[in-house]
Amino acid sequence: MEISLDLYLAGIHFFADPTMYLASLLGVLVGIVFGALPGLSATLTIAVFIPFTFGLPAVISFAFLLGLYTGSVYGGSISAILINIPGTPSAIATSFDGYPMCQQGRAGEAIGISTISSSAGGILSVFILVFAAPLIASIALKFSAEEYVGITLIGLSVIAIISPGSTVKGLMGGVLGLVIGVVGVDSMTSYPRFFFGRVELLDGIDAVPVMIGMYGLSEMLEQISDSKHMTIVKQKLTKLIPPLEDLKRLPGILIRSSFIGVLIGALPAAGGSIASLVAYGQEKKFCKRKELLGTGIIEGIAAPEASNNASTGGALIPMLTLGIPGDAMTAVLMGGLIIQGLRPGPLLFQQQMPFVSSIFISLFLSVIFMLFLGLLGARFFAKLISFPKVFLIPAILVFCMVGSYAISNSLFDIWILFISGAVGFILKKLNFPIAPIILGLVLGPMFESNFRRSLVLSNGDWSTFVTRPISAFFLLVVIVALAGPSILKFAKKLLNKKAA
Amino acid sequence: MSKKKKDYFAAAIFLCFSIALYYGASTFVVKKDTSIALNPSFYPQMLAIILGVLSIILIITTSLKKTDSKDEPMFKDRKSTILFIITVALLLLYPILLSNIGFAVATFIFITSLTFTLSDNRKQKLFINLGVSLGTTTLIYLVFRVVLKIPFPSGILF
Repeated sequence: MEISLDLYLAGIHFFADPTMYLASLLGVLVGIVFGALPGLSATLTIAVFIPFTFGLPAVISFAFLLGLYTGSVYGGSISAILINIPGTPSAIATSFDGYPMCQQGRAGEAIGISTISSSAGGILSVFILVFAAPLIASIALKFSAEEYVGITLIGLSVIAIISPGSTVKGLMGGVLGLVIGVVGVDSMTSYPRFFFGRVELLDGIDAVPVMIGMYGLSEMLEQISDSKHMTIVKQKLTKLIPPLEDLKRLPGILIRSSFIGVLIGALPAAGGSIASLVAYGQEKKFCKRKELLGTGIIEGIAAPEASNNASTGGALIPMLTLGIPGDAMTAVLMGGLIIQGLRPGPLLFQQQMPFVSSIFISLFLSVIFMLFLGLLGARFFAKLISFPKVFLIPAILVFCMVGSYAISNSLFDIWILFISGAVGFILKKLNFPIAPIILGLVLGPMFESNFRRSLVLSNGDWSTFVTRPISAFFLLVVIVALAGPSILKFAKKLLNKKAA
Repeated sequence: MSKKKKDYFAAAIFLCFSIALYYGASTFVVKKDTSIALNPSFYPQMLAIILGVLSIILIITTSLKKTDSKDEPMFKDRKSTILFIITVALLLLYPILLSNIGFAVATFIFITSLTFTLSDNRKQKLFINLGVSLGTTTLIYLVFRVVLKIPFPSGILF
């Protein structure tokens, strides 16, 4: 595939419509608000809003959803700084220096730095996305079913490894997600599987109510069961723009952290939280004032914030080009793409280039809106944190139910929501991570058809997965990723024994 | 429950689930003389086996762990248990109300009762709670019914 400027401008005509800007602005605004509220993660935000976008044209719906994505990843830093609770998991590292700064009365500056760094990371990631995605898509065109099986397995094992809790639990969650995808008519033989006599289940279980249940409903139930719905803290913000000599220290950090963010974001299933932690870890090695990290210095905010927002563009690369989401948030976004009737993957770049180009432009637009809204609205967003959850939880629950209903205007989906909410709640209480389930769910149908197609074409010969070099390489990556840590541990034990 | 007990419990549930899945899939009609991958039961049974093996691995790794630690209880205290049960009851009631008395009224009843259930000193905040609930309901109604035009079952009032 040739890469020319035409590629990027193919969708520019969509932006003659002011609705696009409105959708993007609204998305960023809602995203920051939800992201800033502790307990409403970025994934939850996207999941809850997807049902309301599918009636819109795909380009407008994605202008809104990408705004949500950018805004909520950034918004998470506000509560991390003000109350030491990351509003979304990817803001964990921001609280390391953000909260100490807040305690010193420099909360405004901390939010200012976070806004500037997030935007810098976001912009850089858009540029990398724009150049890398078409290249990867053109390589991915040569992949066949076996390679897709390999990449899916990489995604599922990486998310199992990085999710909190044991890897085995993560893998079990991933398989559970794949199992949910089995329900409905078998695409190869048209045999109805596990539909329990319900016509609604013949088309399979819709992924969106399951996502809303596992992320939205179960999170609200958890907050009630842990009595977390009462916390109210107030904070005041003073000046937002940090002194110029402080800003001069940032460019190097921003570039370094943004690259880390894009790279980690682009790995299948490794998302913003890892990216921000790694970027923070790098500063501990390379930062000029590394001994001050953790005491409340701007470098400690700039690195994770640039990195987690850079990971948004990075995570879109495998989602758009391969159909393998970069993290839980993009997995949910992929759900939004699928209900629009669009299949992410290399063919998207051949057949839907105007749409892909509009995604690039929308993402860029949302970063710009984030910068302005972040700086202008910081005082308002800071007030949100003390918004009583007593009023918030009922509203979110109605959103969850109405959203599930709205996908196909059927009460049946509300029951799917309840069941997934209950399962999600119980699994969380049993210390199981939710993200692998969602990834398994989204990848399920594609994985099954690729897997079975490979086996049918090879006449049931399993060696087809290892005789193709790229596929064999992917499987090797899976084995190393899964078995590596245990082998290292074992080797260390042996060495220790020898030394003793 | 301690962390170890929770892991055993989870592994047992997953193991039972995978066995049920395997047997459920074995009732599917099988075409003879075709590639096994063409059978509708092949893929679900394979997943069932993987899930079963992973559950057994979880049991083994848990039993090999020497230390055990206390984990947070399912519910923080009696009060949060009661709140939780009321919330679930209200959730289950909502779709029934929705299809019988309509979206606006069902939503108002749900939001108001949940807000009152969750908030402390209800008497003092009577008007605030009522006001915010009415405001939220109006906002939700405007967004979903008027702007997004979602066709909810219409009720006796709105």
